[in-house]
Amino acid sequence: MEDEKIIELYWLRSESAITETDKKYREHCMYIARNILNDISDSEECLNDTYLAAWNSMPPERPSHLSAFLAKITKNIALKRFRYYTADKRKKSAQVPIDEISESAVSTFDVEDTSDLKELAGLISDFLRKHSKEKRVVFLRRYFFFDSSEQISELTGLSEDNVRKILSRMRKQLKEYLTKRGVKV
Amino acid sequence: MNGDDLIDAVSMVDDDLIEEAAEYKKEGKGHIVLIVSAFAASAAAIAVVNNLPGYTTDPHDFEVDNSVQTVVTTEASTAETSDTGDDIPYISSGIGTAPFTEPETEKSSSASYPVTNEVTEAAQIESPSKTAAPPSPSPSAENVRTEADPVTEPHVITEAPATEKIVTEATHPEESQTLPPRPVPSPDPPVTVPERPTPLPTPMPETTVTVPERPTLSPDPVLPVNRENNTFDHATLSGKAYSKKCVYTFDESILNEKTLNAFFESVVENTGVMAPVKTASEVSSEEMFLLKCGSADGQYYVFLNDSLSAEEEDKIFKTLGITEFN
Repeated sequence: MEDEKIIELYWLRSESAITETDKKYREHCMYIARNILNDISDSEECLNDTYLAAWNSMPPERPSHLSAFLAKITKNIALKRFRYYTADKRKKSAQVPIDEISESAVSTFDVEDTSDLKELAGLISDFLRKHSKEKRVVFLRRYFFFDSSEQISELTGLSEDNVRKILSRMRKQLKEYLTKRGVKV
Repeated sequence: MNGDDLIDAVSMVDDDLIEEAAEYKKEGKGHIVLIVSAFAASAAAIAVVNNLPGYTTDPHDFEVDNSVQTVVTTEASTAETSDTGDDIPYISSGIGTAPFTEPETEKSSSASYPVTNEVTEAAQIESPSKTAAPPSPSPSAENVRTEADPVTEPHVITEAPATEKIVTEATHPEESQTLPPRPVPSPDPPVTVPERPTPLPTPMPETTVTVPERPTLSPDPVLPVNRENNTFDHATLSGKAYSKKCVYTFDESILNEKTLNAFFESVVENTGVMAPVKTASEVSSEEMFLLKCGSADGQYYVFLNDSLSAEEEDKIFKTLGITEFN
């Protein structure tokens, strides 16, 4: 079913909105959740929460990209759960990308609320648009979808070594970019 | 700012960029699927050709076989390209590839019949130029040689195209249905069928699943269902209708950990709300589910399937030890 029709079902408060979403996007969302949580049972619960969140946000939301909208919800829920689980001990799956990207963090910029995050997200979007499609994909596959270098290599056809180099370079460039943009530096 | 903040910010980047990264996957997988299905289609086409009634085991016919394969493969590829646009790829697992091969194979097999016939004819026309070189047991090949020019046989093969034309024309009678039975060539010359690479499914990126030590999540006391004014007394779960019966404080140990999503219908506002519900280990979710009530530990609304009789409801209450109704 087309995304617009699925969204319409949400607006009509029809139960089949969830069924159709599940049919079309289950694997998409499960993939993201599993990459972060590394556990099928947790990922399934995360998926249920995603559907619930989607149900509660449409209406009033009418996303232009349903797949990205669901991906964001899933990722946020999975990360929240991941952080809850790893408050004491670290799980390996999602922690690696988080540790990696922290290289790009600008220490003088404090993220205090959502508006700061939105500002930062806007800058990252601009930063990504300055790169080639391939590099953007590599970056987002790693830090949005939490893919491993191996998965990215398989997807893009680049060697794993190349993927790691691209990511390393982009992290450095991101740090410079954020610093130059003077994010409250 | 730390890594978590950046990860949160990356979660909020523009939708079109996320879509692009997700789509990129689709394209990538599509190509792999395309190649695999093309191989499958060729294999199917070969199988069909081999089973055709008029198909002979003449070794030279393998040339025909290859031509057919090429044609069918191209068709399958075209069809596949137009197909890939609709499906969502899956990402980790190459999911969605399985249902894909079946119709394609069917399509290519049926399409291969007319193609096969045409190509076979074409190949038969061409065959003398190829059959003349090795010692062929085919009587038709012998006829051709004697009729055209028995003396200058090698020239027919290697030189003038005009001579070849004569040879080609001479072979036409061979195409008629009343062919004299071919003598079965006793020791078949060894035929080497070109080895085709076996299409292997692309390996799925394996995720190692570890058994989690699961800390219990604190129950979220805020749920979207309004429980104060009894407007959400009716619900649907997996297409079955349920109604609220009572409130009961359960021993949490009898509740299943997994949650399900039920739809609650407001009789007042005429709206629907979805909320996570639990089930008890001793009663099937087809008969009963529980909706968290307030913030007290273990307190749940009991929803029973509307199709249950009074006796069946009593039986469930007894099983759960519910004696007083709130």
